[in-house]
Amino acid sequence: MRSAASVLRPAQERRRAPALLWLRVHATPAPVLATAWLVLIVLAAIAAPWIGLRSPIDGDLMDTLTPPNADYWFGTDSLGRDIFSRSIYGARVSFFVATGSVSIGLLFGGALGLAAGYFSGVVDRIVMGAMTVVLCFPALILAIAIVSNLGPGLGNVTITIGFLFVPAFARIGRANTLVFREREFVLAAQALGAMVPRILLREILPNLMPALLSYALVMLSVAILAEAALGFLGLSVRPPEPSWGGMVASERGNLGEAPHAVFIPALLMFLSVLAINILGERARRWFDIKSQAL
Amino acid sequence: MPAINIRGLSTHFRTPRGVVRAVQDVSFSVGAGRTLGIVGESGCGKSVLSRSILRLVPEPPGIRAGGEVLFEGRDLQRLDESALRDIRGSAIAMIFQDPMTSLNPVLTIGRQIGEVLERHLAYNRSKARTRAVELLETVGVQCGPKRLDEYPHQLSGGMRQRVTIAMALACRPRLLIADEPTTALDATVQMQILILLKRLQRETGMAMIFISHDLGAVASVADEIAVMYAGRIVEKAPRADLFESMRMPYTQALLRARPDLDAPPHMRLGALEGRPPDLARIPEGCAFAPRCSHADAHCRIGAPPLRADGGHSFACWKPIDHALPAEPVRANGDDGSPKP
Amino acid sequence: MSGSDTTSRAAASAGEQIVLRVVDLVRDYERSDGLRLQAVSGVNLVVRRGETLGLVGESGCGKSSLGRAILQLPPPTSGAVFFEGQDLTKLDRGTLRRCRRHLQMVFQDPISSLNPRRRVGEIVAEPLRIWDAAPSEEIRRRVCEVLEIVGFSPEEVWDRKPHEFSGGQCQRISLARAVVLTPALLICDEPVSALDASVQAQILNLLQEMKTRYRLTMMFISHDLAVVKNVSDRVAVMYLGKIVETGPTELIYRRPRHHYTRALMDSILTVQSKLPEQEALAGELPSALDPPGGCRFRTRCPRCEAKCAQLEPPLADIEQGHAVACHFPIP
Repeated sequence: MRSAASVLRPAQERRRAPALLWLRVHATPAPVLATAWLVLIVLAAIAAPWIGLRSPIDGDLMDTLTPPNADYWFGTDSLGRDIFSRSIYGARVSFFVATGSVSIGLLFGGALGLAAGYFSGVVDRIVMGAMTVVLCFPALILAIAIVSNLGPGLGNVTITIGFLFVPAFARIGRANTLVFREREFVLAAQALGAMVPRILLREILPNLMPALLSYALVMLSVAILAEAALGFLGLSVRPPEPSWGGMVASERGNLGEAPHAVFIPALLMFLSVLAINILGERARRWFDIKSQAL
Repeated sequence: MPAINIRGLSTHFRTPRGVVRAVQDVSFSVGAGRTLGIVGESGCGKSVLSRSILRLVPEPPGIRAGGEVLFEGRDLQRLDESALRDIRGSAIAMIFQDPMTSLNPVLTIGRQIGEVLERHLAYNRSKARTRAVELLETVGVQCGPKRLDEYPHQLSGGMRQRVTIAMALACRPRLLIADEPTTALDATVQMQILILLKRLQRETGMAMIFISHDLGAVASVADEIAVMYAGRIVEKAPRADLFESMRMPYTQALLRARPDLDAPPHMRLGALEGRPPDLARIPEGCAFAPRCSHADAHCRIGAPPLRADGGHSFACWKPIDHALPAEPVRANGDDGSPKP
Repeated sequence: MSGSDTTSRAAASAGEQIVLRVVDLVRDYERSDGLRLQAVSGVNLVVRRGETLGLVGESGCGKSSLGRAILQLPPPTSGAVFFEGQDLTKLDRGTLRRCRRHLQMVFQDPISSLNPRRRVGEIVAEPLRIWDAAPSEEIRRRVCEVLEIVGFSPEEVWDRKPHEFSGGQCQRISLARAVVLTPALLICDEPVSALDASVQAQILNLLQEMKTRYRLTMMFISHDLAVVKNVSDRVAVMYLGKIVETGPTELIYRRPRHHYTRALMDSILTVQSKLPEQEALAGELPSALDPPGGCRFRTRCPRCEAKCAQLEPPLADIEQGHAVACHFPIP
């Protein structure tokens, strides 16, 4: 890249403005709580190995199915493992799969959509045809088929869910590219003799990002739920590694005597998905405001 | 007796940036068979004014900030919604700039004209159809019955505007409000539509309010012209009077900005620097003062009222003085500006 | 990179003063319903160095398609576009790309012409980034200079985004971007149509200043005869994909010879003129899908005779430099 930075030096101050706007739009309790929750759980998940948690894998068999108490904040499960610790390690899995799969979907789907929309014709037909084929299969069935083929595990689950996200991102990317391709600033860049990659990356792509990113935010919650579903079926991380879906699955037999072992991971998942959706909705509205201002 | 009499009409909008004074203290009246032209640049409030007459401004964010609109003895500003609906489209009709948006894209034009007749005149379907053909012929859309089954997108811009005019005239309105009816059209089609409007006005004797940013178009149809700037009428006069002896520097600037067809190529135009004020932050004093070559300190203090001089009224502290041979007026601010 | 480029340009300019010569240009479009529509049907025109050619016509006459076909965006269906002696339609992609820096365009929609996600400084610097391997400091200096010329204070606008500007200001930015490389030909496609009268005048005056300062050769496309008269040295009038009259501005405006040109002029409303009883031109523009045979204007022409339906009138000189495509021109 050429050294654009030196030319654009005075830009620094102004760049802070959008963040302020963001805060102002969000200054209502729900988004603030949602942000707080997500920050808390993500930080805990990242720091899990270093914050003195009990082992999520080795349980105390003398202390099975204890309800929450001062010692075990979230109680223990049927093998005497600390549910608090397992929940946080489970969050690690959930958020890793969510961000990983959404990144895969965003990257590949966005690129394919951009190419299909800009080049149209044959490229468009091939790309969108392939996407349609993927969309023809029921997503969960397809996910189960792929994971059982690749074998369970964090990486495979992430790749599978990411793969399933590609068509949706491609469609959004393509639809928006079609809109912006017709705009005169793209024509102006072509008239300048700008190369195609330059037009794609500098003229069109920045305009796709609001739509793609706000969709990505929503897809994070879908990914968390998908991972949980696969985990429930035993297709996510291998036991005894904890995942929210796996925790629900393995303890569901003891629902009567120890409901906390099922409901606590379910509740964490519910709160995380809710928080993401609240922020996703906000982000969508915020992007709408911005696109109106253009 | 005037067909419509508007006194002190103000329409504001409540926005996150503050109160936008889109229409401020506007008064005028239009007699039957007469045309008032309203001219101004985009954002001067002329479209809001046209919508305020029939209360088509959504509330909120719109606020009726005062004034009255007297039409046939009733104040439309205070009428209840159902009585107003009976007036809209029948006694007072409107046509807009973009006929594509004022026509419903999924209904045939015959259906759309028919609906107006059924709603206001209680025609039955077949009678409405016959009348629709007649109406279309009046506005110059030939082969009526076939046309009735076409959809708006199958027509050209000029034809669509003719259809909206036919709809507007369906109930023989006493007042027609035309908001930039020819702006989206080519010059040759614009002339066709204007001639049509004038002919229909002669035949029906309706009053007309004709709004446009184009001084030429307004001058060609209007008997009286009002110039709007920043939400207010700043000059109003009979057509001939306005162009022969305009008093307001803004009107003059508007006229001089247009390239003159009689001037040779590459003539420098009398461009007005700057742009109209933000209606949420109208400057104190005369709103035009910051761009006015005549303005002095006095103009920036108090807003000039609209003063009448015979049939010619203007809102300016330092009007162009036609008794003097040259302009700008006098260098001395005080004796050049009449007291309000 | 620009070696062969500059020599060919020099040779061309030494030979003749013609910057652009369009020969029999045709531009077809295939509509989504499969029908072919001919937007431009065989246009010939010439633009000489330093002049402004005004291309005037009503919507749907093909004037914008012509402008874009000249820029090869997209290339014409057939015909040739000689720019500085080179036929752009025959060039390979790399050579065409190198020609583009000498050919610039300003568009009608001031907002849509600028990328909403980029900053003014970047937008105007873009041509230089693409074409000049100059150091950033040099680029910055040149962009500041051109921003000042179009009436901005560079420091103030550099980091702002297009939506913070009004239509007229956006058009100034577009103009700055178009001239920063000092193009040999600038095509302006309705650059002032979306603007208010007072802003229109500012931009027209600015165009005139830019033309003098950068010795620009321009093609100015517009539907507005008054505007075209103000900016052009020569005028070409288009109707339904064809040029019907062309000649020096003063001559055409003083004495139009084609019935369509005449009708266009009679349609102009000024504050002095009263609305006539009879329109200058009746009827509607025929569909470009199925244009009338013979003279394309015959369906609306007051002077139409049998010959007009059979024989298409060629665009022929009626006097020095003034050509009309009509069997029965106005005397």
